[in-house]
Amino acid sequence: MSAVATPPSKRAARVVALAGNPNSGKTTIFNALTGARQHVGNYPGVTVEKKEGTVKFGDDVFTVVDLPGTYSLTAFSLEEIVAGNFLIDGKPDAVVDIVDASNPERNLYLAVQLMELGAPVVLALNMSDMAREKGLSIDTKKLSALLGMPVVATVGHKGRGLEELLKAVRTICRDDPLPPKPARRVDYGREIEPHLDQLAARLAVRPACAGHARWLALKLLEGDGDTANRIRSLCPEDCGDIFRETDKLRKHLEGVFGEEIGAVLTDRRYGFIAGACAEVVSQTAEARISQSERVDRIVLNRWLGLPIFALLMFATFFLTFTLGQPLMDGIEAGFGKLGEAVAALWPAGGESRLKSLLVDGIIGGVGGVLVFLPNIMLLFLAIAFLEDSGYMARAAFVMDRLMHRIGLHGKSFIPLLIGFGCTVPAIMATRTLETRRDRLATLLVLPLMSCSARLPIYALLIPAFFPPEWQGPMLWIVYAIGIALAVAGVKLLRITLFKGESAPFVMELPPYHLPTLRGLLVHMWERSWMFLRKAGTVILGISILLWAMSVWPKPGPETMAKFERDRSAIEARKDLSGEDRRAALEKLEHEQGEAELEQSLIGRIGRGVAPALAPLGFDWKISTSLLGALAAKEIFVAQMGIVYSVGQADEESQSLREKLRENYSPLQGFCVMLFCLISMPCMATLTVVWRESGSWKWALFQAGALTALAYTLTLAVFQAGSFLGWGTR
Amino acid sequence: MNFQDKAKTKELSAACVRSAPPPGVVPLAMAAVGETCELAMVRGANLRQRLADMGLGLGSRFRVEAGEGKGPMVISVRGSRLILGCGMIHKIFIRLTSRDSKSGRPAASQQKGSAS
Amino acid sequence: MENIMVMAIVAGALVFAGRLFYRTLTGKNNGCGCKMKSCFVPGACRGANGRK
Repeated sequence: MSAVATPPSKRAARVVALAGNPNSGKTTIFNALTGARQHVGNYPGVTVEKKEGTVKFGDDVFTVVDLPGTYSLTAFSLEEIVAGNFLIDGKPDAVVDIVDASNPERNLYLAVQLMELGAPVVLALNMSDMAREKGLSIDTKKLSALLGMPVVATVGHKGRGLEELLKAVRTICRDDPLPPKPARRVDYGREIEPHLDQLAARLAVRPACAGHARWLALKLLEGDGDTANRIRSLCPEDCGDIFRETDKLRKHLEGVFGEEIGAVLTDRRYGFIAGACAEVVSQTAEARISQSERVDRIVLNRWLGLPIFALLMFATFFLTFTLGQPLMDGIEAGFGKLGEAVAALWPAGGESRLKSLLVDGIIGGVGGVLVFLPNIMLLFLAIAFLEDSGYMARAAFVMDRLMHRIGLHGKSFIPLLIGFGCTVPAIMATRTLETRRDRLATLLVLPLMSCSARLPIYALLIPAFFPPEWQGPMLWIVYAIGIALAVAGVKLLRITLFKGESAPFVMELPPYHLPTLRGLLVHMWERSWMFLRKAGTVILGISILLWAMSVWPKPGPETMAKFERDRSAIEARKDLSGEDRRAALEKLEHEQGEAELEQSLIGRIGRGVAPALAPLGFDWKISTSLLGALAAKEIFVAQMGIVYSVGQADEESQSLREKLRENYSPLQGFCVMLFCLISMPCMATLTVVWRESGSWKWALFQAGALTALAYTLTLAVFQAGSFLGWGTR
Repeated sequence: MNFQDKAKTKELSAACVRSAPPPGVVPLAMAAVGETCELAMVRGANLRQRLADMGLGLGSRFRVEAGEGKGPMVISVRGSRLILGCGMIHKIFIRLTSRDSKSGRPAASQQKGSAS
Repeated sequence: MENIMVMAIVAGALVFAGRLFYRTLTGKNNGCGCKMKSCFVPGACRGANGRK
């Protein structure tokens, strides 16, 4: 039927855009089409960026673009602007509008706008199985005729209807046969229509506008800024006239209707949809209260909402630590054995750089971080559960009142919650926030939510310094300090830098969704893999460098000679028994190790910085580890492992925790955690803040402010603590 | 556009934006769980458009699903449920149209009267 | 012999760290080191790797 001159295989790939409301199953369809394994979350706006994939269908190749979810072509948030611009200016060869068939009325609004735009649309009635369950049946043929676009029923997660969808896309791309003309168009009533026609006719004179003059006229009437800019570039000569005319017209119509013209037009569109639905949709079964609604009666209850939320948070962290502990101990023991096994490859007592690199640098550094893999996996599992089940939106609801009091709204809470996993994606998740003020206020305080990279630091230090009954509460205290500071920070930003009201908070409440075990495990694994990769790349690389810096340069020949002299002196002494001699030699070796470490690059840097950090109770070893933590927070743990194993030449395997307990007081331990929690975020966070806020200014401001805050707070806590004698030994 | 029209526009927009809501119209904050309401007025053009895009245009009927008093609310409209943040429940004005037999609060009769 | 190996490993790490630093400055380091797949926010990393 399509015997066109160019063979299909020679043509460039057609661009197909996937558009639709949030939660309409767009990402599922995208994955089913392109075969890409991606994350399908459940809160509105999960697809933040433009994603592409290719699909081959017969001879045709389509480039499928997954657009962020949007309710209409009038954009509010950053991601909606992305979607709208792509649909309007990107001129895709076909647009697949994914409609949640179980909720046709609201979902068809975008379809109607696309119809008015004159875009080549294929309507996919997705989740048609859910619709059937709800007792809705939709006459696709009639709907297709009404809207003038092919309509295909699909079930995204089962991959049903995809072939028909692609067939329809191919047809619309080839323009053969031509898509049917819509049987009806939105009738805006006799007050508006004549003016609209007049304006459209005026625009249609321009060839560039001719295709969608009516749509342009409508948008001008609504007062859409983007459209005004478009007109300005399309017909620069008489755009002034056109604008004057539309302004006059808008004022006139608003006088007639007594409300904004945009609202009137929207009402008319919904009226059109209601009419279409009345003809096309039939309710075959009695609508019953859905399971989601029943659950929400409890979860969103005025009195139970917050306690349930708190309980879930508690469960998350409880699971992370209690369940993780035995696994963690196992891995720790495993690395200990590995270290011993590697060390055994060299003759005992001999000095070897390679051995030191492998045992102290790599196993001590990377192994020290990898020990916490089970905790991190469990935390990710819990976050994946909260995300996939749809609870995130409920959390936004429950927290809205509190967030409102500090000048943000519930939606900001979702990035903050993701921040417990990793700050970087959390900062990207702020794209769903509508105003720049809200976004900046949220992302500036985001690093205060303890990310999973800080978990190893807490997990190392808390058991080292606190008795078991205090370990749980201590962890809570650290997390709570972060949250409290974030709250105070937002409030402060709201009354100083970002004054003004926050954007209205309207968000769809997606139905609950029982996460599949496989899905949860996949998400958990993907994110844990991220952590493993980080351990194998960034942490490994930096650990090796830090090891080298703590080994070189060697102390000068005089120092070495002095130790040699002392050693022969001890060996020469006749009055010592074998036992005592060994002890004296060990002590000497320990001293030598310390001296070498102090002479090394890291020792010099550490001692250079130490005076500044001494009032906080940090010695030079902690100071160097804090410097290393700038690359990634886990490096603090790795570096502590390195300095404490390089410094000690003795073979007895004492765990890092025991060494820490020997060298520091609980107060110092707490101060280290406090400093790590608040101080300058990691490099990756800084760059993301820079990119997302559009200037280095904010990233530097954030780093500076957080570090200053960390310094003052830790200083206060350490000095007060030392004065009062808390946690000192 | 003549002078009268202009005056009328000004008067109307003023009525929408600043003055007290017409009789029978109350802030959404007054609605209780289970009540069915009709959207009567929204302060702020941006919010109005936003709500309209999500299916909550002026005159549309919705049911309050959760949230009372000062907190945010969940409403159901056109088959989907929306969270309205607590910044908004004083900017959205409604007419009460009916109430569940389950919800205990007595109906404000004058509001009901002016709505129909 | 051993010293040469140690030197080689350290030099490798140095090159890697240099690359990481460069990638950070040019905004290519997104912290998670992933390419779209395994992020909390799907597609976010692609965004960091060069938005269109």
